[in-house]
Amino acid sequence: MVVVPLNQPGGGAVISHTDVTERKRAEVNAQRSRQELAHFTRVSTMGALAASLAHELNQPLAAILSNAQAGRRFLDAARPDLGEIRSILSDIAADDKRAGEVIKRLRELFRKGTTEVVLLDLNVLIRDVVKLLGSDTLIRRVRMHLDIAAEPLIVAGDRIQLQQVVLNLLVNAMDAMADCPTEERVVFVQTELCDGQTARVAVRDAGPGILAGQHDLLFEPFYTTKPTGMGMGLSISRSIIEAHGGLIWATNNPVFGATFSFAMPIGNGTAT
Amino acid sequence: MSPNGARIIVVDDDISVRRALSRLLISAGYQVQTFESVRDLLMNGALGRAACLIVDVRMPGPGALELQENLSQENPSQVPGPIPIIFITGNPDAPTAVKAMKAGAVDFLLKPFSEEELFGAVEQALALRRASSDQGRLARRRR
Repeated sequence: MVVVPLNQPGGGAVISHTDVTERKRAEVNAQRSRQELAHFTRVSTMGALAASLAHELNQPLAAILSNAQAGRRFLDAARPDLGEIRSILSDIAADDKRAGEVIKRLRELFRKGTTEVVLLDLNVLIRDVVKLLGSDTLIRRVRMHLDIAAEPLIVAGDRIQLQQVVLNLLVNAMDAMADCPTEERVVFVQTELCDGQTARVAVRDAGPGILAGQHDLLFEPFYTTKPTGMGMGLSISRSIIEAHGGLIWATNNPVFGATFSFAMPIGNGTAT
Repeated sequence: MSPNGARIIVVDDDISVRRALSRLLISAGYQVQTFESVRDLLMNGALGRAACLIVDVRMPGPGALELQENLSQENPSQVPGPIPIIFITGNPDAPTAVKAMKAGAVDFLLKPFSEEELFGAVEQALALRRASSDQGRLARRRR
């Protein structure tokens, strides 16, 4: 129970029964980490552009510096050519604007995006992510088996965030099989429509499976079994899926390996 | 420093960089000729009168590396040797720099560079040019 006195001449107080501060804070945190993740993904793809941006910035910077130094030298002459100095100054101003434009474009690329919910087909999203991983699966000598539901699985969600979840589950599955013989390295991806209102996605690996008693820890932040892992992937995935009104869980397979699944409600409408 | 009006050629696809470099070199007493591309330079036939080249690494079409290769292949035993080249770039990458220096580039300047860096490189290029010209005269006299 929380009592907040009112700062009024007449006195009085507001008494409330449920303190939602913590819950709200947690919601805000989850939202923020999802956005940061999506942002991070974008930033890493932008890394490739860094070189070309450096070039675009260094051109005007070089011109500005040479112009300024030339201008100073011209001023030292016995009879400075003011016309030339005037055109130097205009060139400097123009190049400065040009550099500013580059920075502006840069800022737009790196701007943190907010959640954008659209209707999308999970089947298509999964196929796209698998395609994205194509060269990675080749290098790791992993085969991907897709068992995709015949009907579209339309859900309301943020495309980048859901891609991130699928990507995370697929990479985890491949990581889990790093020590397996090549012929056993198969990831099974299955999607299905359950009782007409829930989309379910399962990613099955043939790795060592989940250690006894670790099921609950898997989705905790900073829990990892990988030597170089951060332990953030599954916890962020869980916060994304839960924000989409879904569930994510892990089970061991009957023989070997583990299956990570998530389920979320089917949306009304057609994919955009 | 006495530039003695030595002729310097600047090749850069960026008009702003061309104008600025040209002004800076003129302010120090050099003669300058600028070109938008390596192709323009080669077609113009201005190379013969140049004491040194300042060429951008990355341009549409051939850049400084290609020009360097072209000049040294044209006449490998040429006396005086090929015109000294100063590489300039807005996006430095180590392999290109190593390749350029190995093939005899005078310097590899990263944009934005200061007048001290530029004039230092130019002086060095002109000294090289003078040394190889002297050798050339000696060689001719011996014949």
